[in-house]
Amino acid sequence: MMLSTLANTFAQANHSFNTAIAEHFHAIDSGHFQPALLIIVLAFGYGVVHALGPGHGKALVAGYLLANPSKRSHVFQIGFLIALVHTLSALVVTLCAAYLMNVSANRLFRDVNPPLFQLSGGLILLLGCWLVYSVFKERRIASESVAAHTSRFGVVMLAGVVPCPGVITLSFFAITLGHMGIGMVAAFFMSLGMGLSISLAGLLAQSVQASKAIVTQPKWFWAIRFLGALCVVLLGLWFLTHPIPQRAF
Amino acid sequence: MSKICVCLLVCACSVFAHPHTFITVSLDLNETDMNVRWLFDEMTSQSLLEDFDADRNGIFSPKETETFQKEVFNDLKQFSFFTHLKVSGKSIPLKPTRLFLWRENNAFGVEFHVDLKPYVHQKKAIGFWDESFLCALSLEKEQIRSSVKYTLKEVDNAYYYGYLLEFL
Repeated sequence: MMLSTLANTFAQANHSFNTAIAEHFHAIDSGHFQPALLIIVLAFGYGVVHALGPGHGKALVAGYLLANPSKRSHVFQIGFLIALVHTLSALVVTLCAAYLMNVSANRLFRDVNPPLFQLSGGLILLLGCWLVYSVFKERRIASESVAAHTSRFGVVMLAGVVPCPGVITLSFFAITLGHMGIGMVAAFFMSLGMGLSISLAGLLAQSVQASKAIVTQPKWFWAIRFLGALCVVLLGLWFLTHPIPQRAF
Repeated sequence: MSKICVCLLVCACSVFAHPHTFITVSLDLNETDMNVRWLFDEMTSQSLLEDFDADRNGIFSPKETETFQKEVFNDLKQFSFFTHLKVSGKSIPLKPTRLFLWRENNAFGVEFHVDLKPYVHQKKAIGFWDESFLCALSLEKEQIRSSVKYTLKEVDNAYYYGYLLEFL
């Protein structure tokens, strides 16, 4: 299967959720409670498929977890907190645009996204360098029992700070139709869906780190940790040297 | 080892983009001219209507159209306006003219014209895609009105998909 076929499938799934949510927002006006419930369920599904695409911190989380073997509970903590920060960041942009600046959220996103993206890239690069140093320092530790780092909260902030365009579009749409409350709840459920996808990507990285082949071979254990740290460095470098162009959609 | 392979595949998948804007493309085509029409999904449309239909009358004045051109449309030049023209295998920078905006129910529409006169009787192909894949374009045969013969196929572009229209 070609990657573009996969991309097409994801795009169609995203489109279907997007269209269904928009339709149910109009149905709220009919006075029934059911459309609001359906929006929440659909928003969760939209979050899952939306975060299966690029961004949303999955590559960063995978690199970080390879470099820093973590407990399963920490993987979920990182995944869901990233999604929450990603959503909160989007809601701040949306609410500022709609109520303080009186412009559409997409217009504000066009202006704030490129600098935030680059800032995030610079900080990810710093985090990567620190991880490389940290992994090198701990090269004699040859088992899974590497002490848990509080740096995971830094990862949460770095991966989540760039606002999610999907949440921006959804919440701004809700506001313009006069359904801000449902829009906020839907954004929250969308973040739960995204959190699930990000956590699953993290679990995959964690299971690689915990696999027998790695655990029983000290050299492999260290090499995989180093590879993870290097991935974070490269990701930061890529973001920093490939600024995203300003565009409205 | 299989877990490592799956992990690498997931990371590779993370590289390609996810669309959050969905555009239905339709075309009017002849040997010398092409009119491209985009109809946006409802969520994106709402945002564009808020920004550019300043007087909320559903009709776009020249001033409103000019604002859209400056703030949105011109930025798309670096993406070749999602319309990639090749003449005799060579990429041609697109110079769209006659920008026109409209509202159709809850959807926001954009139309522009591409002059094909300089390339008459040459082998032409036009690709429709967004390389960054932040926008997903769809183009079906039913959305094309043409006085020239052509073929339309879906194309795999490594990590995103698109449509290629070739003049016969």
